Amino acid sequence: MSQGYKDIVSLDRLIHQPARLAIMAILYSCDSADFVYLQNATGLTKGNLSSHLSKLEEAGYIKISKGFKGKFPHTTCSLTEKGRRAFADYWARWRDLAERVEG
Amino acid sequence: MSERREIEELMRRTRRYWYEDGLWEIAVGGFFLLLALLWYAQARTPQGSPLWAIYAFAPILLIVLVYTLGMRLIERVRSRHVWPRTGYVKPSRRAYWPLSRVIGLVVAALIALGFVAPSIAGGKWLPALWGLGFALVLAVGARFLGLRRWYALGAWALLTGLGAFLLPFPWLVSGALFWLALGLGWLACGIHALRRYRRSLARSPRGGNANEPGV
Repeated sequence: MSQGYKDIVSLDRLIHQPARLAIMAILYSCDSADFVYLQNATGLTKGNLSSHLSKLEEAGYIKISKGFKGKFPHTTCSLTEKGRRAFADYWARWRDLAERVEG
Repeated sequence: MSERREIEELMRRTRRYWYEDGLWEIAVGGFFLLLALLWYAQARTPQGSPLWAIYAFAPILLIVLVYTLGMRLIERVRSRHVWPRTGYVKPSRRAYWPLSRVIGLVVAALIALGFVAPSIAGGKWLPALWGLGFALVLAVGARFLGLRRWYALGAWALLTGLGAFLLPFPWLVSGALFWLALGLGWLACGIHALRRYRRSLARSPRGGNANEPGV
């Protein structure tokens, strides 16, 4: 097995899925973001976004806080320390791979 | 690997979200205009009078006031008109750290120069140096956040600094003119950004968080 292939296989598959990668990248760039921003930025439907957030929460990568703003429910998400480390590691590996592929 | 670029742009977009509506530039532009007024008033006051000393230290008070009241006002406007439509992002100090370091260094250098300015060649060169400082910070910020309009603001700062340096006035008057031109530039930039942002808001539905599913 070549080193490049090993590197691809070793990427975190939970983060590698495009929608979850986008969510993790957004949350990595801020302290927290709410559901509306995540939906606008990723272009996902409410149900789809909700399901990806649940998977990331189950893995311990994100923390979801629910509250109310006025009469409306307000959900905010943020990366946990574990999630921040996992994304930083994933991103470094991926960038390294991309640079090797692009030459 | 265009996906990598898309993700990088998504990260930049999140970092610049705080600045996208132009309100921050409008607030800073207003601050520069007040600073211009203070400098002009100081230039018209005889040196050594108690009022001169008050004018000299007033900018510090102004910074604190603008930071606390201005930021609170911006948050109020955003929470009513912006966040319900496009969402809320709490900026991360960690993400801004590379930019903050550059800004901190340049601001510290400018403040230090402000104290020694009058003793070196009458301080005439100070606005040119400020212009250069602003241009540097704005160029780094524009690159870091992907905000292209800050390149134009940086070029404007460089030009106004050079213009104020070449004017045949005492340094306090040149300084006041520099802050005036800079403030007007920031205001114009902020208003332009706000108008564009309002047009984009019109395309976003209001109260998007009303029907959040259970996550």
